[in-house]
Amino acid sequence: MRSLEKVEKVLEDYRSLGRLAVKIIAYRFRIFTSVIVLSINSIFSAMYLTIGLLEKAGSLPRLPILDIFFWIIPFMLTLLLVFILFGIFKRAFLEIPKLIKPREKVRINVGLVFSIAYSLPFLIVYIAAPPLPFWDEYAWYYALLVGSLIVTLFYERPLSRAYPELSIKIFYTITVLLLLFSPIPVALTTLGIEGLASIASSLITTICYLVSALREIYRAERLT
Amino acid sequence: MSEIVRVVARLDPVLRHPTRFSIVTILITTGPKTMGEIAKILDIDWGPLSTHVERLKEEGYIEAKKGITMKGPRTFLILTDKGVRKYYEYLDTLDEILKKIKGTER
Repeated sequence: MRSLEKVEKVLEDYRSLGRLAVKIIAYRFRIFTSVIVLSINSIFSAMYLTIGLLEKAGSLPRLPILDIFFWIIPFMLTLLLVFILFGIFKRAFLEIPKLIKPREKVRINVGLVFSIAYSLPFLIVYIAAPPLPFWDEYAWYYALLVGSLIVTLFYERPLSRAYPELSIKIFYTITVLLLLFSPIPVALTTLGIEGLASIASSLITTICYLVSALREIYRAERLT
Repeated sequence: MSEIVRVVARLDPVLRHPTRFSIVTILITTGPKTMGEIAKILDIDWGPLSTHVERLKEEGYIEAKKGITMKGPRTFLILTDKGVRKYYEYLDTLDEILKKIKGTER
């Protein structure tokens, strides 16, 4: 019976190491996700605020054709930076889930979900007839809200179902917070301070992303 | 007791060795690593390490891939899909054995 206890002790040690491995994978995934979400938001916010401030300061001419150049070039540069970031962190989204045994077979096309989420809503809000005054100034906020909802429903939830250990709630938190503050841009426009709507939307978005990323890091730290 | 022996015999002989189990655990938790990095983490000599790495490669649990780093080209050891699958099978078998041992103790 003594030898059985010894065997049990050795096997327990192996098993504990295995459990620890799964926890480390989950920890890395949550931290990677938080960092990538925060970095991408920072890049977009920096671009948006810089252009917004330059425009407000009157440094940029108001000719529509120049507006296109001033917006398209920084936007393309921002997209390029985002792609580079994705390249660096793609292991978080694509490789790490491969290191965990799935509970159920779920097919998630990460590229397709993210491409649709962050393009289609933006196209719709800017192509459709403006439902509110000064809509162009803050329409992206509502497109981002819909985009986050799409990612929550078609990436985050199926991922949590297939890999409960990798359960993340960052896009869910972003969606809830963006929804919670969604009346603000419209309220500012209604109150006649539409000049603030655009900057306020950007500020709210940054805060929502920051809170969501910090919450995810906190969840990672509390992993048991 | 014979039941426990039967299940223990089912444990994957490749991963049953502590060094090989540790190598796979390192690769699964931290991603691709060079032989030098693994030797440093496990604090073992190259001789025994390369023997175990070769065995893991032969069995298709890991593969070597060349990559460029800031310090020049390096060969990285990467876990294969088979390696990941076998690792979790091994953990499941361990769970099964531990349950049986606990059942015997009662």
